[in-house]
Amino acid sequence: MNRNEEYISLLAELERTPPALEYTVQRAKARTKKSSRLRRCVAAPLSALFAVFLAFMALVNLSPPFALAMSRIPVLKDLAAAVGFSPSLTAAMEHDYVQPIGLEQTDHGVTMRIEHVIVDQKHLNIFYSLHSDVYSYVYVYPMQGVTLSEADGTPLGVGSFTVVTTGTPYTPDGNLQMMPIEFSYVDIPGSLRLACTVADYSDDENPDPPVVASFEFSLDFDPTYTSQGEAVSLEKSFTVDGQNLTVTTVETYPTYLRLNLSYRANAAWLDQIFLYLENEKGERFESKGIWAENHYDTGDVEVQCRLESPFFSESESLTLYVTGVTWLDKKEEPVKIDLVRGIADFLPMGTTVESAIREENGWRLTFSGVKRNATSGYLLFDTDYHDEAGNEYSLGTWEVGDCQDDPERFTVAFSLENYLEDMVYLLPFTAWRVDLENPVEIKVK
Amino acid sequence: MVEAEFTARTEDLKARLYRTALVYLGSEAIALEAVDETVCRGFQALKKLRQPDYFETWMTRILMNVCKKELRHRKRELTVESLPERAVEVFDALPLKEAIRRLPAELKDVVILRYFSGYTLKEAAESLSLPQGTVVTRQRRALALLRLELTEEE
Repeated sequence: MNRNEEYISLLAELERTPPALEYTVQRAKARTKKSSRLRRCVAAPLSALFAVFLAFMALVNLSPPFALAMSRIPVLKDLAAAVGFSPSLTAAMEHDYVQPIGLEQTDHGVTMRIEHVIVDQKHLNIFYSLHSDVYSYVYVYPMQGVTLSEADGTPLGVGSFTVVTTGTPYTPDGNLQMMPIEFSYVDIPGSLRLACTVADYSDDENPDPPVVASFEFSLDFDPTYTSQGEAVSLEKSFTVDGQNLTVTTVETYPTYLRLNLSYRANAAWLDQIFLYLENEKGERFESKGIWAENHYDTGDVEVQCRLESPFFSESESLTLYVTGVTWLDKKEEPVKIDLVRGIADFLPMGTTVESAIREENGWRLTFSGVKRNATSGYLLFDTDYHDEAGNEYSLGTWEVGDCQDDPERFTVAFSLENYLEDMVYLLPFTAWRVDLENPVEIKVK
Repeated sequence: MVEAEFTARTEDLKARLYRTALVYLGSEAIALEAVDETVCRGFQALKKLRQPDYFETWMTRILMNVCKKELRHRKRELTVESLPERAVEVFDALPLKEAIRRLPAELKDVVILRYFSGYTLKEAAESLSLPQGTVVTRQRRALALLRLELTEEE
């Protein structure tokens, strides 16, 4: 496709407008009306908000038990909206799986209030609001502005938790917002200290919003919630595209389900696996993608997939259906990177050099690539690389994260340590997808 | 301008605003939020609009400020002065959508309004508060970087 053809294709893509655009004016008018602190809107993307609104109205009108539960706890109506289109969290709320917190602090003209949490052994959702009469827009920037420690102040280990970005700095004052925190490899402690810094985003011209308030809350979790969860060992193997994979364990928590897989990586690595669970009633619990993985020197790989949770579904049987995979394979032809100028002679489609920064004993490289689904990013290059003379080196660690510039892209950053050359040769990955004509079926329960 | 007129003109304009935001921000959800924010601000500031004839360019200006604010909280944008020596080759290697996003802001504004949002030369110049000649110069430079062979007609 040449450039002009790309242009025509992009124009066609732009002709498609989302259904939520139809009610833009109505939403805008509703937002401009002054609201008391007891009436809150939603921080979720508005296309999802509208879907939640319709779903909520359907539930209230068609489901008397749900309506009764909602009337008993009025504030949970706002909570239902803040949850967004999350079937697991919605189910948790319908079953009163919500712990009230009700803590509030004010610092330098900003008030932060933690209303509720939805918590289980591995996942914490904090529902909070920010209010200020001094600043127009204040925001807790999750990755940089949140720290967690044990009740006695001992910091939690690096990598033991992840704060998921949600909401925007321009959420209207007092709106209920959700802060999901993942505990990938450890259980959530019975108590936590949550420290947040809040920045002022009111000044359009300031690219570095100043921190204006700090808060620290002690959160004590009801063990009724944090003890909930069940792990089942399956050790069931199946073959896809000639590759053997094993479902090792299934962990079911109220807020999501973890499916743990293992395989031996030969020439290709697992990039995505398309699967879902289904119970005897035909209810499906969809995948949320691969959330974590461990690679061992032996070539063994452990992968953790997440799915919506069947915890509240009262399922008598559950079957896992695997419908396809995407593999990542190393290309044989290396990419030459001019480190001084920060450019490559060629790169796979969608991959770009973000930066090449000289460090004391080497280089720090950052690339970006296109996410293959809403949640996954991956290493763009093999961990082995070489210089112009053919000397081989190997990466120690690398960091994968979301591209702040574009939510549909991810970044990969790594250091070439003790590397003083001006050129480097990297081996890029290529991906291919396999869809199964007959899905693999595995009985889970 | 009365509320009824605001509603009617915004209904006609919102798809155009959405396309503009989508090219700027690259995400359907964030583009929708930007349009919502724009319409909300426009509604709140309705009484400040002194020349209703310029309603569309006024709303466009609000939208572009909203988009720029969103982008400002991400990586710093490239400027014309900092374009690399072999800029055309760099941009040529990128998918068109990505190449547009990586343009310097002053070129990106023009190419989005002129070639994706359907603004005439006059409308784009009014929205950006620029002379038409400047818009022509910038669109020519942007098209060259993007290697797009499009007409520069009004």
